[in-house]
Amino acid sequence: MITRPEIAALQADPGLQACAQTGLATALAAWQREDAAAAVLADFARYAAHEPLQALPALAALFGDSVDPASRLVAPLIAGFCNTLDRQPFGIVPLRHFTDGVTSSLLLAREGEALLTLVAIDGAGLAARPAPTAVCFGHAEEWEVVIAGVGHGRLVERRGEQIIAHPIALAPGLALGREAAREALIFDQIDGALLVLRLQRHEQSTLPKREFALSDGRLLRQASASNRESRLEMAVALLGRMGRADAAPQLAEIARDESHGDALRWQALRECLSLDTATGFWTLTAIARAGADPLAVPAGALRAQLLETYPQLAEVELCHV
Amino acid sequence: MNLPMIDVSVLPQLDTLTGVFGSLLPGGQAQSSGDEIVVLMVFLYDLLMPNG
Repeated sequence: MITRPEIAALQADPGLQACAQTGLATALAAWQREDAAAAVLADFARYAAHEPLQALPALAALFGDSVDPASRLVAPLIAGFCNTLDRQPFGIVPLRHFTDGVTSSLLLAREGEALLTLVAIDGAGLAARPAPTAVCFGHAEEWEVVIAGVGHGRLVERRGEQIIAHPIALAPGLALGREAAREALIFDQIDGALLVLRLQRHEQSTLPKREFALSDGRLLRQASASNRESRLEMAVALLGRMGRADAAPQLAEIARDESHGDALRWQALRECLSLDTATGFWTLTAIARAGADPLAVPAGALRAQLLETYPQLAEVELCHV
Repeated sequence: MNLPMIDVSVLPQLDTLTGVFGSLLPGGQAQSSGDEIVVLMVFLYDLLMPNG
């Protein structure tokens, strides 16, 4: 194994490592104390608490007519980090960061369901990727402002069953506010690199994120937008595989609870039927008979199918009444 | 009452399947904030099954 001397030095002396981290932490703290950042971060906390952006002047100004407020916000932070990294290249930036080689992001602030992110997109990397064929819609309010760089993109709108793309020129100062359930932004071509400041506030929703084909607007796939729902779904599957018949009443409760998403409820219903036939079939019948329940139709079809295969299930219903 | 045991694999899925959280990759949209995929899950379960 080859260990570079700089890394060996860090390994040998924990003090050096601490020093690299202290420099970056100090740069971050200095930025957070600056007037511009402090005002934006205070507004951001209120935005995360569901206040409208229009009521928050420092935050709203980032996505207004001029690029200056956004530039002035991020420039000192980037300068602070770069100066420190020049001296301590193995320091770790104390904000959550990510890169896939094309898109790189730095999470400036996160609170509740709100995120403020600085995103850089590499034009050469983007050009090497296949052109997008699909577009994804979630449930969030999103704001973007281009701080630097130029290029072309599309604002894609889902109107009824149709997908309509509006070409847009990306240039410093371009600010967009989008309802992500209806409008998505696609980056097609970028000269050099594009730097974007993005504000997102996700809505608590059990409705899935959905991906549609750009060519004809058909639904390609969907995924849960809630990590809690997915976690429950995995727990439900695990209880099923473990044969935990004692969990059937809880599974029945999840299946009947319309505040959960359809996918989780249906899996809970399937596992419940398999673990405890009587509890499962009562639950299935209750859902099938609740007219306004979005699962009433598939539950009715499954109920009819099960009654045909196992006529003795009719007794479950009689016992329950 | 003699009820059948129903195998979960014979019970149908909904017409449109829903992937787990984070399974929809934004692809060309470059929309990900990179902070939405990783979720740590902890499972606690009995080493001795209730009927074991």
